[in-house]
Amino acid sequence: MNGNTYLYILVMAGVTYLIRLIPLILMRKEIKNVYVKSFLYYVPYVTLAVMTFPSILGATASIWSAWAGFITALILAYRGNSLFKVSILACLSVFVFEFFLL
Amino acid sequence: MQLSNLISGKNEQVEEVWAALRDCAPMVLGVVPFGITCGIMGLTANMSGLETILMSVFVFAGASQFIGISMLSAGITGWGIIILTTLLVNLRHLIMGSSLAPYMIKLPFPLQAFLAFFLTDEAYALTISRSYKVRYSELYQLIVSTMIYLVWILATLAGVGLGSYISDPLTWGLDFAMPATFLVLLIPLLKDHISLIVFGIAAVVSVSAALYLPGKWYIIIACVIATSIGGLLEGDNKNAQ
Repeated sequence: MNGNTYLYILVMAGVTYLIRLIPLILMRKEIKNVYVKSFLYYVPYVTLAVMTFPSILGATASIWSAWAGFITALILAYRGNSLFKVSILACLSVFVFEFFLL
Repeated sequence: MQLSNLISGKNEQVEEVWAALRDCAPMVLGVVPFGITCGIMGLTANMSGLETILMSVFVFAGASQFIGISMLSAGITGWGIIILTTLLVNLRHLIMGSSLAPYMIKLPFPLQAFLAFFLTDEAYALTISRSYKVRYSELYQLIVSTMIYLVWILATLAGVGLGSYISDPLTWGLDFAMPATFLVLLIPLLKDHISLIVFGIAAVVSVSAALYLPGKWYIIIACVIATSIGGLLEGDNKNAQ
């Protein structure tokens, strides 16, 4: 590596930060347009869905342990269990499935 | 008095702090193996420990750090390609930032600019989920964001320091905690048929697009298609008011 690595890091940091800041610079007033509001209303649903899928099915060593973890998380989440409990038990089910059943 | 408030959790701000710490615990669990991997990857790519850690301190974006390190390792150092790749990998934050902006509009701009630095998938997911279920709280966002940031840096440090002694952290199974947490945040939001349709479309498009598109493009494609359909179905219904 040469001295340019630090500059490289700074450029990456600058670009990353600008992307995070631009919406806050552009959206300085309350949004009145109903369709824009509707669009923004569903952004969290969609972003949470795309951050869950497909990574939940590809985060383990095998697709079967991924399904085991996914079904465990789905049932526990539907029953209203806490974030931490669901995450730990889902990870545990993946571990048990991979360690004992595969 | 403050201690008794802290214990009983009566004070609203104290409640936000507890909620933030409680909610970010599983996210932190998922962040650790990625942070350690980032540290190990930096050293493998012949970056110094300091360079690898500084990248986590200043960039604080997992996916673009992984790609940046791989590019450095492969000797790709053209400025155009670095800027373009970082831009494309992080493009999803433009959508997430737009979704959070209406809540942050009343905050002083310096605080908005400060919070923007910490906007990651995980911090966004927790903050927006809290905003929908309870209310938006800048204190909650600040604590969640800085906790994830600190853990990311500490995990990178651990990767740099213990790299040769640790087997691949991504095989520990802890990275499963992150999508599992996203799922838990999502389920309670699915209360009506439009949200279920939007969720279904997003999941199907995302899985299909991930098979054929490189990098994180599937996120952008699924976001644009599913939110547009959601917006059209919603029209001028109550949620849009």
